[in-house]
Amino acid sequence: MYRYDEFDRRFVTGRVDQFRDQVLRRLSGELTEDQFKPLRLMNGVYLQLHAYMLRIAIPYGGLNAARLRKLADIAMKYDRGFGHFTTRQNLQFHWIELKDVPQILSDLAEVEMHAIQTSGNCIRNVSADHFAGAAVDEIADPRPYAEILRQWSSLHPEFTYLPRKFKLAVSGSAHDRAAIQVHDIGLQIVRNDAGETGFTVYVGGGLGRSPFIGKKVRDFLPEAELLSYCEAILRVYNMFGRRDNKYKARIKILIHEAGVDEIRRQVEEEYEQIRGSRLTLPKAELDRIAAYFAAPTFEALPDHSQAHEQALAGDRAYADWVERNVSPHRQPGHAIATIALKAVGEVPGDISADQMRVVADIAERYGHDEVRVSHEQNLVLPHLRKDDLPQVFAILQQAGLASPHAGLITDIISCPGLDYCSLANARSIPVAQRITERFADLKRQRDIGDLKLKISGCINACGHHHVGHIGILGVDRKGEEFYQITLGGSGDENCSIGGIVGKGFSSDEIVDAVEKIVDTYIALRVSPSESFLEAFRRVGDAPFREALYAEAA
Amino acid sequence: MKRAAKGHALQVVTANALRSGSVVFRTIRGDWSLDIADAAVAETAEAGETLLAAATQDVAADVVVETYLVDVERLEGGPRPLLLRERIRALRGPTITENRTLPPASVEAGLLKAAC
Ligand code: HEM
Ligand code: SF4
Repeated sequence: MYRYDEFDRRFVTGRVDQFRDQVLRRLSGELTEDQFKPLRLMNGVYLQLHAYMLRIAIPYGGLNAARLRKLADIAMKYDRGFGHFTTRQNLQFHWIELKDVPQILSDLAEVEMHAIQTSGNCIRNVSADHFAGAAVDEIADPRPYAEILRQWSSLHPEFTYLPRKFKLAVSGSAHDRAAIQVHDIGLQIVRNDAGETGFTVYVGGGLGRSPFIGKKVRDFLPEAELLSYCEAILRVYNMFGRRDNKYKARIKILIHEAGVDEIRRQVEEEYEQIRGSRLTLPKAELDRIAAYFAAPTFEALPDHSQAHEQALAGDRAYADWVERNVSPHRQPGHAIATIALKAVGEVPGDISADQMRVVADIAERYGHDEVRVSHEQNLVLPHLRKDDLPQVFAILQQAGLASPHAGLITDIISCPGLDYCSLANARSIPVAQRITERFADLKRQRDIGDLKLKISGCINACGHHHVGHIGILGVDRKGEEFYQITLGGSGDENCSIGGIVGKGFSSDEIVDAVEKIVDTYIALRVSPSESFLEAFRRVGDAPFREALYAEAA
Repeated sequence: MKRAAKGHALQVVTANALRSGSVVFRTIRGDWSLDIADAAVAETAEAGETLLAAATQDVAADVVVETYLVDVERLEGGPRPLLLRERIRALRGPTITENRTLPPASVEAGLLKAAC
C-alpha cells in the first residue's frame, strides 16, 4: 500500500488544521454560511436530509486493518455505528455533527486518509479494479498509475475550479471491473506488439441526466505519457467545458457537442505542447511508486488445497459461498474472496463497526493486511490462502458477512435515495431490500445466474442504474414514488446504456415488475448458460415489454 | 428547495441546526424543536412568509441553516408534511432499519407508518 511521504503528511495535516479553524470560525459566527459552504464541501462535508454527511476518499479502494479499525472507531464515536460504501469506492458517514468533523479528519490523517476532493468541481477520488494485484487476467497492476494520478490531481492549481466534477478510473485487466467507460477519463492498461505497457484512453463517459459511454481517443498511450496526456485532456476541458449550465458542464457534453474528432484533435494539439515536459514520467519514478504496490510475499503452495477441497465436499454452505464469492488468484494456492454487503434485507453497502473490525482482523491474520472496496459496494479480501478459506468463511459467517450471492440478482447496487439524500426523488434502499426478500431463495438466484441490478433514487445515477442489466430509477410522479425500469445496460468492457422499457411502476408494483422480467428471461433463454444480458442482447426488449404491459394494453 | 403546490394554506418552517445538522422546526415560542408536533403552523401565505422571515434571522444568528417553508396538513398528532421528502425529514431518520442493530427512527411515534 502507498505510504504518505513527508509532503503528503504535511499537506493533509495542514488541511485538517485549516478546516478546524474554519469550523470554529463558522460556529462562532465569524464566517457566514455562504462563506463556509464551499469550504466544507472541499472537505467532503455535505448537508443531507437528516444531518451532515462526511464522504471519505478511499483511493482506488485500498484499505487495511488499521484504516478499517479507524473507520470503525469513528463510526462508534461520531456516527451511529456504521458506514456506507459507495460506487466510487468511497465511504460515507450519514450522521456526523459539524463540530466533530475536524477531530474526525485528524483521526483519519493518522491512518493516511482524508476527505479532500470528495466533492466540488475538481478531480475526484481515482478508482481502480478491486482485484488489482490479484486477478488472473491482469496485464499490470492499475494502482501505481491510479496513485500517480492521485498525486498529480491533488490540489492541482489549474484544475481546482473545473466546469464540473471529474472522475478517473483505471483497469488493469481486459475484463473491466472498474466501469472505466462511464468515467470522464477511463484508462485501460494494454500491451502493444513490442510488449510495452500503455493505455487505451476513453474520454467523456458518464451517467447522470445524460448518460454517455466514453469515446476512445487513443488506442495506445505509452505509460510515461500518462500525465502529459491527462493534463492535455483536462486543459481542453477546462477551457471549453460549459460553465453556463451545470447540467451541460461535464466533459461528456463537450464531446457530444463538439464531436470526438474535434476534441481528440485539440487534445493531441495540447499534448504536443506538453509532451517531453516535466510531466513525462521517468522510469525510476514509475518503479518507485510501483514498489509501494509490490505483491506480498506469497507462500509457494500447490494449487490444490486439502482443507479447501474437504470443506467443499463436506459443507454445502461453504461450497455455495465459494461458487459465487471466491475468484481465482494469479498465485497458485491462493484465492480472492468477495464479502457481499447486501444479505437479504440489508442496506446495500452498509457495514457496522463490529463488522469492519472483523474484516480488519481477517485481513491482518489471513490476508496480507489488504482489503478493497469494490464499486459494487462490496469488500474484497484480495490475497487469501486457499488453505485458510474455510476458516475465513466461518469467521465471516459468524459476523453475518458470508452471504453467498456475489454477482447474483440480490447483489444490488443502491444509492442512499430518499432515506438520506437531499436530492432524491424516491427511496431506493427499501426497493433493494424488497427485491432481496422476493428473491431470497438461493437456489432460484443461482438458477437466474449473473444479473446486475442497480437502483438510483434520482437521475444523478449514483446507483449506476444506466449500466444495470436491470436498472431502476426513482422518479417523483405527482408526489408519489415511481420507478422507471431500464434494461440491457452494462458497465464492463462491453459497455452499454440501458433503455427505458416503458412507463414506470409504483412502489407497490416495482418488485412484481422485476419478477416478471426475470421470469420472462427464464422462459426465453436458450439454455441456463445464456445469461440475462446475453439473452436480452439477442432478443431485445420486446418480450419484456410485452410481459410487463400486456394486461394494461 | 422542493415545495408542494403553490397557494397551499398550512405551512411550517424547517431548517437544519448549524452544529449538529439535525432537522428542526420553528415553534410558536420562536425557538426550534426536533419534533414537528411543536411546530408553529401558519394558516395563510402571508403568515407563512412572516414566520419564515422571523425564522431566517436565526440563519444570520448562526443557529440554523437553510430555512424554508413546508406544506403540511393538520392531523391529530400534529402537522404532517404533504411531501414524502419532508415526511421523512420529520421522522428524524430513514424509513428503514439502520445498521440492523438500531430501531427505525420514531417507530414509537407511529410516524413511520404515516410516512410510507
Ligand atoms: C448522499 C449524497 C450524494 C449527493 C448529494 C450526490 C450528488 C451527486 C450528483 C449531483 C451527481 C451528478 C453529477 C453530474 O452529473 O454532474 C452525482 C453523480 C454520481 N454520484 Fe453521487 N451523490 C451522493 C451520494 C452518492 C453515493 C452514495 C454514491 C455511490 C453509491 C454516489 C456515486 C455517484 C456516481 C458514481 C456518480 C456518477 C454519475 C456520472 O458519471 O455522472 N453518490 N452525485
Ligand atoms: S442518485 Fe440521486 S438520490 Fe441517489 S444518492 Fe445520487 S443524488 Fe442522491
